[in-house]
Amino acid sequence: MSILKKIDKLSLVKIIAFSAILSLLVSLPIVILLVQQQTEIRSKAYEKPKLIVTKDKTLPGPIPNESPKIGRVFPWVGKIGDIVWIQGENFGNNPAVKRLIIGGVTLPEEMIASWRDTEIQAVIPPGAKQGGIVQVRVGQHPMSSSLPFSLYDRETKIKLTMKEGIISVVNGKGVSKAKIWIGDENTPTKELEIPLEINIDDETPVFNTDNKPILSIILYDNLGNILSYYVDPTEFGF
Amino acid sequence: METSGPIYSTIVDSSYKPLRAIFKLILLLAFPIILVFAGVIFVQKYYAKNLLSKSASQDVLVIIPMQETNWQDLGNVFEPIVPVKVKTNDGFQENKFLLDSGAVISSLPRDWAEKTGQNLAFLQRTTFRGFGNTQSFAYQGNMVILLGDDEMTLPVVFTETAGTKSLLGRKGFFENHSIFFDHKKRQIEIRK
Repeated sequence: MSILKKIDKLSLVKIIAFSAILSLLVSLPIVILLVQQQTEIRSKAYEKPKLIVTKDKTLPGPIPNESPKIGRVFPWVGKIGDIVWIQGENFGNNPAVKRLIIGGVTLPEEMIASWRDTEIQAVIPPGAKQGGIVQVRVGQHPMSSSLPFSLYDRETKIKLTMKEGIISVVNGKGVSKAKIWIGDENTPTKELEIPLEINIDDETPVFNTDNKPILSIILYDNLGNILSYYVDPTEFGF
Repeated sequence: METSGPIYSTIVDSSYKPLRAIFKLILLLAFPIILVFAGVIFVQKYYAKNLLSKSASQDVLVIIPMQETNWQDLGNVFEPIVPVKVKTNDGFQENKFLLDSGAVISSLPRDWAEKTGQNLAFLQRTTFRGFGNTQSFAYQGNMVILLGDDEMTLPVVFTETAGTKSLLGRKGFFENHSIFFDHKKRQIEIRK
């Protein structure tokens, strides 16, 4: 009864003022709670995705009966980190016992993108030697080796171009010899050594491929050192 | 002369009246209760909805009308193609991209490498697996695109096949944006 007496003593203006304050105090947290509830409803609709681990490579397969044979490394020119396709036969389908060496560096499993019976895809590893070869070994079979490949980097200035089957050197000052292998996709049918004397930085014609597939090109200076060069991939079809 | 008798002044009724007290108590409580109910209804019906839609609309980078292709066997089918401006040596140039959540990375035809000031020979070479598991070489670079007013750099591969569609793939695009296909409004919204 004492509360009612106290309320009764308050004037109407005070009652309304208290009522307004009380309204604010009560409604504010409720409004905030409701806004948050709306967000919660949305988040409930979201399902946490399950982590799926996929295996890209096939399970280790058997060792082929025949020895592996590298046909060509395509393309024969590239940078550290570039992928190359090693084409040939009898590589097996991801055989359990295998070894791949590029430019003197044995590749770890994670640098081999795929290993199928007729093609291996792998990355040119750091430390690979200029003019190095690719070697493949499967099981106890003898190792198969490729033709030499050419490496370059962002500092390389010499460029090889090809227009209508004719290969030319650009910025080739200092190039004294070109070694070229052409043939079909798997077998080099022609190996050529072309002496060159380039004293200008313009475009100098080197060789007419007659539109036959190129298996490798290596450039040398007059001391026999291998020179780096780069190509426009579109011109050479890769 | 002295006056005697009662002194008349303002009469204050200080006596307790239970009915009046109850009325005042009801007044004190009713107002907040009504206000709370009104607030709840307002928040549920208008405020939350407006707030959410407002925040969503603020995140929209670009709205593109849906395009349709009329197929002989299927009739009209919606094509998720979006025109996007790509930064080239001569400023931004519009190119049509297919939104492809199945593509790991965005792709452009090779001729775009030169347009965007990149030399294929010095980009990292990878294997590109296309439709039907066909394989070719691709060269990994970057492209700067304009979505609404936002300029962003996306990883891209320059693919071999000329005339193929440019794709916007998962790396850098789908993983950082929300794509909303609004079939009612027949439009695609790309949101932050």
